[in-house]
Amino acid sequence: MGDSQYSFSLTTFSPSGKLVQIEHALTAVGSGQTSLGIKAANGVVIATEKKLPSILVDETSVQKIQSLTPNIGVVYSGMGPDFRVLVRKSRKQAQQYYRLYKETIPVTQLVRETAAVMQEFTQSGGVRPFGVSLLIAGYDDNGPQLYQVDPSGSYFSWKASAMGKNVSNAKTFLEKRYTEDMELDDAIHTAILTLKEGYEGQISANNIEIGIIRSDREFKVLSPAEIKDFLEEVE
Amino acid sequence: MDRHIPSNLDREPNSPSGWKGLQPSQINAALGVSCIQRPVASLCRTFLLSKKPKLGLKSPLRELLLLRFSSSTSNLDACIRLRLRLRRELAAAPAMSIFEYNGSAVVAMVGKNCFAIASDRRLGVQLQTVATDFQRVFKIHDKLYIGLSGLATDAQTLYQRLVFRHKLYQLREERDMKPQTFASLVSALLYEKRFGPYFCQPVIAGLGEDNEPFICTMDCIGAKELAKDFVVSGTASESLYGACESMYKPNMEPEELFETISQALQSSVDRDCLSGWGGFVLLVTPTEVKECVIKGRMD
Repeated sequence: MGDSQYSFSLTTFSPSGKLVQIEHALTAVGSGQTSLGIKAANGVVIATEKKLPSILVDETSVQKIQSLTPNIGVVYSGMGPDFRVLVRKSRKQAQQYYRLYKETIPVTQLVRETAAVMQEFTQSGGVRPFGVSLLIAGYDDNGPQLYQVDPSGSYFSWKASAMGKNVSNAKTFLEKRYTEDMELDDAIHTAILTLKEGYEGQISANNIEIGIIRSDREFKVLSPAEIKDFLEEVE
Repeated sequence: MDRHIPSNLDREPNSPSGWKGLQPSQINAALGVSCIQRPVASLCRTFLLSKKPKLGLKSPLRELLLLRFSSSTSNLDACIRLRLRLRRELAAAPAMSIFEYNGSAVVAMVGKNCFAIASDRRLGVQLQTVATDFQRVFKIHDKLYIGLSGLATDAQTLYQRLVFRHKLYQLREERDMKPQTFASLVSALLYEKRFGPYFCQPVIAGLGEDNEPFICTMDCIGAKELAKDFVVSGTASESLYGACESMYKPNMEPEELFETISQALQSSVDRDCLSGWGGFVLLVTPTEVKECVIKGRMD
């Protein structure tokens, strides 16, 4: 009895038909650091800025791009701790799939499962929605894929997308630059330029992160040295 | 051994009330027959609990029980002799495996860009034939079939579960399962029941990507066994091995494969009294599926 009083979902419809908690979650995402993704003809790139609260923080200890399976990677805008929870749940889901079918999970399936978790947190008692949006990049039998998953649990497949601070600017930039037949290297350049556009200050190999996946289906987070090479190519 | 006799037996060895509530294991311990089987133990209990055990019956078990608990020291020799006889008789009793209860024969073979899967049609209860049109080969999708040998009831239940899982997969992923994937699913479902298994030995056959034929079998707890040529299972599996080993050739064309698998099945079930009554043969090529009921010795 005592519990049931408080086990209501915290996200309850407002009279106007909105779920205010989800809107707040989206605001949290919107004020998070910018991240973006571009689907190229032969791969996908996801990138994010990595602004740290102080120069005293060891930037090598912060990893905003994570891999979920060898061929799927993810980046977020919003709250870091919430992201970790989702990464843990998604990885577990991917392994459960592999255990059952002895086959790696398709990107769409992992996205659907992750989105299902996020939806569940908008309807369960005693929890709040996740304060993150995800960009999931993968390469499987259906080719390169890029998905965005929102705190509400809705998900979309994008050719290129951005989220976090400066979304609208970044999206306009991507709309101008994007072409269907883009190669991955071009996409990486575009990603860097887009980040640069909205970045307050000077971007360097240490304050952005880039993850790529090519047709070899190995998701890789670029090292600062590799990012530096791309930065030099852009300039 | 005597140390394990429950204390209530010593107090009132001949009073039926002293035996109430005894577990079969306790009776086993009291008898000193640790190898005694459970049905025998429960028989002992029924016997011991009956108001007046008839002394005249010559069953070694009854004699043993009476001797053991009437005057325990003087009849020790007779007791040991009887115990040995009892053990011998238990060991000699024919062991019936539940896998052989209904009788079955399932075989799958690979040809050139095609495969065939076949089964017998008999459903029996031990040696009595109950039905002669029993289906053991089931369709999962156009290019994937599963044959389930073993206990008929479990074969049907397992088939229903597999169809359910496959339909769910089709809805979620908007595609058919690859044969390899399906084999892993079957294996996982079987191992879920590791300690109370379905008494079935599946045979899976399908055409995968690029119409590559795939066959495999597994035991009742899902240990996969892959093969490039043929797989067999069921009560006729031993004779099927023989027949397939001598008749199989690699890269057979569909027509020849059909003939070979039918001959192999037919000659094997004739060597097995629990399977037979004709056969069901399925031949799958990339373009068509040929289903055929074949007649054999109908007796």
